[in-house]
Amino acid sequence: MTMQASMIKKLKNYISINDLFALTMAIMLVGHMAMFFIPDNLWLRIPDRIFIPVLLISIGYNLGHKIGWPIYIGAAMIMVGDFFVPYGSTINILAVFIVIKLILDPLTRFLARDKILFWSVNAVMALISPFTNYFFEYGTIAIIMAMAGWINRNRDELKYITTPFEYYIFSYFSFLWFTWAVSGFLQAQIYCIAVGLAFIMWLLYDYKTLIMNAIKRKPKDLIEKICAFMAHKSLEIYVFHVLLYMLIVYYVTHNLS
Amino acid sequence: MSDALVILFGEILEMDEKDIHDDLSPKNTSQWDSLTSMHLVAAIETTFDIHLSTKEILKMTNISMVRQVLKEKNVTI
Repeated sequence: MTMQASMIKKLKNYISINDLFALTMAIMLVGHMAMFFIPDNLWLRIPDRIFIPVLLISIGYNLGHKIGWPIYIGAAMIMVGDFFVPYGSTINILAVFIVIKLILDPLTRFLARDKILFWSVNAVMALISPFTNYFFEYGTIAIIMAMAGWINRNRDELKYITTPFEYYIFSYFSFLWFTWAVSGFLQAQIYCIAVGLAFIMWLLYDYKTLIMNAIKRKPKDLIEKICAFMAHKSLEIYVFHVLLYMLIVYYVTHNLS
Repeated sequence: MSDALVILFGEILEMDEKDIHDDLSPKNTSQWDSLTSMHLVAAIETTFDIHLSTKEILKMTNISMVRQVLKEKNVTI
């Protein structure tokens, strides 16, 4: 037990936000490949579900960084691609980023005025997330996850309403509910997601440690340099791979018909 | 002579300290992306033993504004 605890502590002191971002991007490449080309295989989508909170929580934690024009252009390009590809739902995490960046700070400050208001609106956002998912990717669950990041950074501003720990628990179960409701996963698959998600949320709870690990551990070998590159170029990788997959689907669909 | 803030920015942005000036911002520095922005904030918080809110981070659009926010928090650089 002590050895396990020591190993977990070592892992937390080693893994950095750069590693998590790079891993998320790699998993997203595989997850989206499965989504576009073998949509019936839900096992391949599990890692994708587990790691997406890395991006969503990060938006809320890092809300202070202003959105640059490349995000608007990337979101617009994918929106156009979405129109041409015969896929059942929207896929555009960049548009979600823009919406969250615009509304999260004023929304959270508004809700922070009253505890009942805060939890009522959050409960409604969780409940309707499967429906709002039809209008933009992840729907209102994206706002809840980003709010977890915001609360983690601005914990003093909401200390009479909630704590980061309490809100992380709420967002964990909300995300599981959303995943169960929209994805058609089997019970065993949901259990896998629940375990993986708990681990990722636990890592993201000490967000600052993840950043400090990235600062302390400058990339030395090739693997670490690739991780740092993928983490810093996540926007470009996202836009490029989604457009590429869309192009392939478009080509295949039109050649077969 | 470089102050603590210049040294910190030089380390995180991996730039020569002589190239760090008060007008440096994400707009004119390619290395200063959203991930680096998180690194900078965490490094500032740790170095000067403070906590920055989202509101304060939003104000920090260049190094000059970072100095101003730190001054408002009574931090001596």
